[in-house]
Amino acid sequence: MSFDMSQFHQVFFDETAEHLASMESLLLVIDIDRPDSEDLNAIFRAAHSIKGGAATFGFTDLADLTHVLENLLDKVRKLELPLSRQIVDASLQSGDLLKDMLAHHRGADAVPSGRIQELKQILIQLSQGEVVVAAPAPVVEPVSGRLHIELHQPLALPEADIWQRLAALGQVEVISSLPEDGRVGLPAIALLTTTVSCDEVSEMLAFVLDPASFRVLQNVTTEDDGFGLFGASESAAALGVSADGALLEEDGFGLFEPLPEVAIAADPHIAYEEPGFGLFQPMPALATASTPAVIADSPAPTSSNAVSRTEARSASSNSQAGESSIRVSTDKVDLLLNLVGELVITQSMLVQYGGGLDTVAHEKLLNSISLLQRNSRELQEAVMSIRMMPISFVFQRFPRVVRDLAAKLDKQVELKMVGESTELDKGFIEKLSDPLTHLVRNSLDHGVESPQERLAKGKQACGLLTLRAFHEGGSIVIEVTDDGAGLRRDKILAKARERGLPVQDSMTDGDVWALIFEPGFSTAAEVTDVSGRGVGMDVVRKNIVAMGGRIDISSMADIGTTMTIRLPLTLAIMDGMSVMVGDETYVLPLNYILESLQPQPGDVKNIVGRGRIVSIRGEYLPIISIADVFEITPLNALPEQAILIVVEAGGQKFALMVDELLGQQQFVVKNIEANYRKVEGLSGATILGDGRVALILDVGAIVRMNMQKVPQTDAVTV
Amino acid sequence: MAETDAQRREFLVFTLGQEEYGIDILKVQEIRGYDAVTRLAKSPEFIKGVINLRGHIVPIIDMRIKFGVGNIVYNDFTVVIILNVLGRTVGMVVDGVSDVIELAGEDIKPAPEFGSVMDTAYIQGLGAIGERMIIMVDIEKLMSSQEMALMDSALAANV
Repeated sequence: MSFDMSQFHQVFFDETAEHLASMESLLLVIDIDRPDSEDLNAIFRAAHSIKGGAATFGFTDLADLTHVLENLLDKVRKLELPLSRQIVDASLQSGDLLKDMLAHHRGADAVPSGRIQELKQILIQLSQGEVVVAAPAPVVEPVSGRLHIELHQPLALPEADIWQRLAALGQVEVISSLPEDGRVGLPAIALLTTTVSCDEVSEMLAFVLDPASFRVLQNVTTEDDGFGLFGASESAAALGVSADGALLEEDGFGLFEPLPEVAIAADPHIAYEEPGFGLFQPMPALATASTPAVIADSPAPTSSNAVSRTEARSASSNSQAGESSIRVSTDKVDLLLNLVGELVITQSMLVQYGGGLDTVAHEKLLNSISLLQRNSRELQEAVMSIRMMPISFVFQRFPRVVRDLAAKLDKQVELKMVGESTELDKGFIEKLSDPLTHLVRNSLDHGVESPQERLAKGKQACGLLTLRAFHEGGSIVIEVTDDGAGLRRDKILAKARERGLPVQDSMTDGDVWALIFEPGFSTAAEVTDVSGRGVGMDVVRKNIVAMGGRIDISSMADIGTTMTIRLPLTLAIMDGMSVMVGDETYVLPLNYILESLQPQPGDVKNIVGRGRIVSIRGEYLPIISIADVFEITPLNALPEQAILIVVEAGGQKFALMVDELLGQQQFVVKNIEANYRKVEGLSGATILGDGRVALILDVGAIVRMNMQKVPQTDAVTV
Repeated sequence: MAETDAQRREFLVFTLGQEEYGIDILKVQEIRGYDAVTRLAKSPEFIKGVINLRGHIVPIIDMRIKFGVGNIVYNDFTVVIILNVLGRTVGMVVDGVSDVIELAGEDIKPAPEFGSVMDTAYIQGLGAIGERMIIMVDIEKLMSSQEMALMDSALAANV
């Protein structure tokens, strides 16, 4: 009975990536002197699950490396080896290597085998070289015992062969064999009396068998109640799903060891000794059991102490296990979002038509319309929230980045992350990580001083880097704060002069700090491989602006620097101002708008060859007529009769001339390129309350278009 | 019998000026009336603009302007054929939609060089039904062509 495993490969890849990520995050927080046994177990479990999966799916290279890693971690877990920085480093390196190997299986370049061998060697040395035999840990299994072994079909080896292999370890007593007719259902059961630990037997079997097809339990009483629960039919049903079982959160599974003996075992470690295999525990209740609430209902004979243990565990492993969730393709979510957007538009049409009706005669209809309005808004919000993901997805890479970088730069830095559960649009998650990494690297390299310098300044040797995310109004704010040297005003100004930028000493701090976003600007005395090439900050700002956000800096000498990124809540919805130009409606993104006004006669001046400018409180801004850009006949040809909207794009201010302001509201952003090509000057389209399409202006592009246009239109405008 | 059934395909026939054209009905999403469009600046004259088709922004092309035929008025009888080509949705205004015909492969004859408003590169052949002669159009090729300016040139070149 063999079936195609490749369909599960994607699941394995995803799972393994998650395990690696959780392993890495645990390794990074672990206290080397006083490691938490829970964490050690969790790290071991992650490695173990990866090995189990890799072996099942035939990725022997992954399985081999993880096996060595697992041996090392196992010894650490059992306190046979003291945890050392070396071990943490080697484990992190293994994680990296495994990621590369995983990438190789997904189609990337092969990993040099030398690297793998080298690391394996290190791992083996670590696990052997320093075996401290001192004080035999109480955790080590007591010598002799009876193990309960269950085999399920399909087996990779004949049943008899397996018993034979086990016989090498001790005395095998076969209780029941697999049914002759090959039915999947009744397991083969045997008791093994041996001095070998339960783990080791599992390990041995894992090399010859699919982990799904066997269970090894520390047991003596075969007729125990606990096993009554695993009726043959249940096991069969559960086995049917165990192939997709890989989809489920296996962390939860280790929790449900339905063995009273284990639950009351003196040492808590034993309870988790084979969580990887717990993955495939054929318990029907497990498929849904991932929250403590469900656990309580599970039919497992959990004594009350087991339940409380379970809850404590799931609380501590919350970050890895997450809430119960399903994977849904973003296309489906987007479709849902589209449909809801439609519904909202239809609803606002109804409101519009309903407005013309007699309120007394149509009272019920109007009430229903307002009810519909409320319901559809709530529905829209709920659907929007599907696209939202906690920012921890971006933040989680930083402990590693900071750790590695601090080591490289010989600095001491503590990373603090606040507001990790702040949610933002999934579309931002991927796009944020590069700019944020830039900022973090910059802060570490230029901001935080070396320990000596810090001590000399009277600060603590260890610098503090804070990543903070929170909601403010309709935006997400992400701050990168360091308590380092701060930006050096004089240096920046000097550098700007050197680069020929127009600067004066009287510039405000804000304007000076903004200079570092200029292309090619870096005040680093020397270029390091960390930062200082000056390509970073302008790219950061470009990326943030492309997401519809903006970035600000505040800094004080020797106190520190804060970079603040502001992003709209979602890509799909935008705050905008709708304006009329001629008889056409356009939408202007609100984040570009500074103010709008009607100029006084005399404020507007014509400059030969440069078009018109307007003086606003002493500032002269170029006027760009939207009607000219889009070849519309405007209602008002003169700026004095029209309305000017002051916008800021690319660090410069402009006045856009429109005929009328219609109002400010939220717009669902639609893509024009989906069915058409890119249109210059437009960033997208939206649908108005009456069902018509309005185009969204791309302010940056309009400004650029206008700059190119000026020389050609000289003759016309003058 | 079964074999000929398999080869029979259905075509939507529309009129443009004096000629009748047929397009693969599987490329047609729906037929609807002409709604107000939102004009797109700096686009060719035959691209009327975009409409909101149940939440999707769909460009509308007036084939009558494109090929310089027919009477260009927009009223309740103006017909828009919404096409699904190359994963995109495009609407085209034509003079009228007459019917749906079923043709077997052998009923479509290769097109001779002849005077049609449409470039022969986009014509698959001629279908004859009784007295009628229908020009079979490769609508996918036409809509992705550079001259329709519907797609970014890089994309159109890949097609």
